[in-house]
Amino acid sequence: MDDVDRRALLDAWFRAYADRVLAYLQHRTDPQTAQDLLQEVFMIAFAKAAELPQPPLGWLFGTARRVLANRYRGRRRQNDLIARLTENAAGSSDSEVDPETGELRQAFAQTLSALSAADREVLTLTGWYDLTPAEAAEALGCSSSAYAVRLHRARKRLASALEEAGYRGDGAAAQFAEALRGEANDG
Amino acid sequence: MGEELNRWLRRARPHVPADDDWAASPDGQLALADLHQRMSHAADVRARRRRIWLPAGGLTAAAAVTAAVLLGIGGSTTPPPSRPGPDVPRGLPNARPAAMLLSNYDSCADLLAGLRAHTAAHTTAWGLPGGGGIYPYGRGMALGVVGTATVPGAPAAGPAATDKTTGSTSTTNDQVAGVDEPDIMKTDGDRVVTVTDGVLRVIDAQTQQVTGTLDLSIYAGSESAQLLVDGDHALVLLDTGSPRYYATDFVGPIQPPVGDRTTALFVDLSGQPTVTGSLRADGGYLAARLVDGTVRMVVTSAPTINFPQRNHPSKVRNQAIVRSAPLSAWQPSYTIADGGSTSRHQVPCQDISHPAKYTGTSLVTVYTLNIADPNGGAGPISVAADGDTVYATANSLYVASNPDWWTNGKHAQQTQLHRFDITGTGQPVYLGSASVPGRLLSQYSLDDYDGYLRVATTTVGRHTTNGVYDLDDATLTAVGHVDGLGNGEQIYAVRFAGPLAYVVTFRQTDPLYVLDLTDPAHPSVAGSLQLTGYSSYLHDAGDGRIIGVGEQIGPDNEPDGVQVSLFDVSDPTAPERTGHVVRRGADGAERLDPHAFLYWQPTGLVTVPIQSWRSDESGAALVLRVTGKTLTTVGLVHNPLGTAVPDDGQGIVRSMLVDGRLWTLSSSGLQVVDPASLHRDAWIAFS
Repeated sequence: MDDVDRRALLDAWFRAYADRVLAYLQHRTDPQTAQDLLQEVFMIAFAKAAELPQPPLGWLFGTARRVLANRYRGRRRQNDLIARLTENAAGSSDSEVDPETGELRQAFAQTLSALSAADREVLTLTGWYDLTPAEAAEALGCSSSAYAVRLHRARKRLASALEEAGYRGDGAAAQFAEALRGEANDG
Repeated sequence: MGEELNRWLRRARPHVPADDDWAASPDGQLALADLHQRMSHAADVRARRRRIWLPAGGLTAAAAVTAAVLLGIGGSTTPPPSRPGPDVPRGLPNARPAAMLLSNYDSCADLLAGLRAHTAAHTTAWGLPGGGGIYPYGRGMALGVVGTATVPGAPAAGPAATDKTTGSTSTTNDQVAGVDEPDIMKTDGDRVVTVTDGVLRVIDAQTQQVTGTLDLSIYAGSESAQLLVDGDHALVLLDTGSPRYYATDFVGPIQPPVGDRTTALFVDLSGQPTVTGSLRADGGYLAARLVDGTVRMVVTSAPTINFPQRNHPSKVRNQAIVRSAPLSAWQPSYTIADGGSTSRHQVPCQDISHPAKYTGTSLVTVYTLNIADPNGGAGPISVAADGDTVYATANSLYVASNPDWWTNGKHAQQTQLHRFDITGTGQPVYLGSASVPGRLLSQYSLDDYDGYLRVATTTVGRHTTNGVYDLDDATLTAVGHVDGLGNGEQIYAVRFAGPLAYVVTFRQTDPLYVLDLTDPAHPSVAGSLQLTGYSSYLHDAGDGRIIGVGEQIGPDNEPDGVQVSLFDVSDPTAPERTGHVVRRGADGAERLDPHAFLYWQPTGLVTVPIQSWRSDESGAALVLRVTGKTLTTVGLVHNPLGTAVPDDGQGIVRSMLVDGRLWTLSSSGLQVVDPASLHRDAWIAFS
């Protein structure tokens, strides 16, 4: 593949996927680092353009995960996802949050923090960035069947965490827990 | 599938700038243009270098040597004397003499009043920033501000043969010799102790057999467990945000869920490894250090305050709740179990201090543990402060924090520093606090030498800049600083070595700066060197040599593999690269975990982990040798893949020398090789 082709490909990938990869990074690190890592991800994609699966979305997310982990390796703190969620619950990124959404976000932040990093990753990857199950599996470096199992278990654990945290009845968080459990049982 | 579920997830998703069609926005287009520039040819890249090359000593005149700035109790500043140049940062306005900070409250009542007032000032309609506080489901959980991550493989670095390791046995890499850092592999030359994937293993160094295993998987956080070892005793450190699994704990009553928890397990290694006790602290694990059998463990916690009616956010109501919260809401608590009995404790109010400025929403607690006796440690002390980075010498422990980016905006460009005296085995003493401009890269950004604390920071902004600050460590007062390193770039690596410091900044190229800090009031750039690529870790190889590990940037200005450099810095004014090894196409050195690096000075042996982006391939260890001023490749070591390769199969994550043999650790097992020929002596599979 010559340089011109690779550049054209990179352009197309950037226009199609940069938003979502950047959103993933902005959910997990400061704005400057997110920009830097986005550049890293696309430079690696450029270097390996010929080898990448098509479409490369899952690969891009997998690479984003690794560059982020590398950036944070050597520090205990993995990333800022929970802090970001908590801020979000407090309504600092939107001007105002209705109480129901506020409760949901608060509940999500609190209970997600009680789950393992792997559970957090599988739950948010799936719901937040429009990845297909195959893409999410590729991002996580596992088979589609292993991914399905992990997602199923993570949903169950989040549902239990919500219930244990006292989110019962017909509040937003309780409905969320129910939806999680429904999917976990179906899936 | 799951449309309803996805709707809920979407509602919980924080909105970020990238969501607003960023790629099509001017910012996105700029980023794409930048990418194209990076893809362009090397000649082009060289032409575009906009760095101002700094001749030796040039910065001394150009930048910023500030005299001490003292800040009195009332905040009145003594203006610094002369100040050259308009762009020079204005001293250290927030540095304070430590003496001013030792104002522990006179009484518990005063402490409570102060904590309430400061916390209330930072309370929102939803509770406390960073998630502190508990919510109406009674037993609720408080989110710790930091330390919830479970990253296998942690911070730190430094070569080292400790007093106990003699002959040809290394430890894994620590920052400061004699100040051991928790890691996943330890040895004393007789036995090797590892903890991977929730299992602690003891391996006899002579027979190369696993002689004992301890399954820690019943403990939450075990997958990222780390350990410290002293003689027949080990301390396993667990960090968990998950309190729900404690019901299976080995001793003591079932714990109510209370949020982040840090657990230290005391393990007797004399026979089959057994847990003999535990210390469980409320709050997130930050770091620990072992000096002469005494462990100092740093935990951060948030006050546990019950905010009812979460459906009806109200700042006024929440502030009223904070103002009537009992002292126990802030007092960090912990449980000690020794197999026979379990006792619950709280940090007494006279052991809680605060800096002059604080928020009350976070506390840093330093625990003291006797590695041989769960009940043998001195009492903990707390300071109302946040913490995310810990640096320690044998006598001093520094906790640093960088304010959260998202909530603090401009004020995030600050580093808060808190110093503790940890001499001996007794209770630590809080000595004081200070703040310096800019943010830290890591614990390696801090160094205490000859009575001065040196701090390397990056101040990110429209005009990103880097500098090193000299603080008198007794008063934590700024004495001098040098600024203007790598303008527009960020620090990628920093290493202090006695009176010198080495700093790598990076955007396109790799300037290595050698700083002369001999005169604390007049630190200066002694020399610098421009190279392509960058180092993310620097190691003092002795005899005026520095090893740098980082990423090679290829002619197309794209990452092109792992590079290891040997720098001759014997003349600080003229650093020179005398050795260079590149592994093209290899990955993983963008951020080297210092614990994964090994340098053994007696033989010049160097190992560096090499990763792969391919999912069907595991990482290896690159083995090199430093001889004089040259660097040569010995070869690559691969560990066999196990049956259960973890998702992020990193391959070899640690190397160390045990009795002259090179031991390489992966999650599948331990390999023993001859460090010269790399021939395998043994493969110890973890099953």
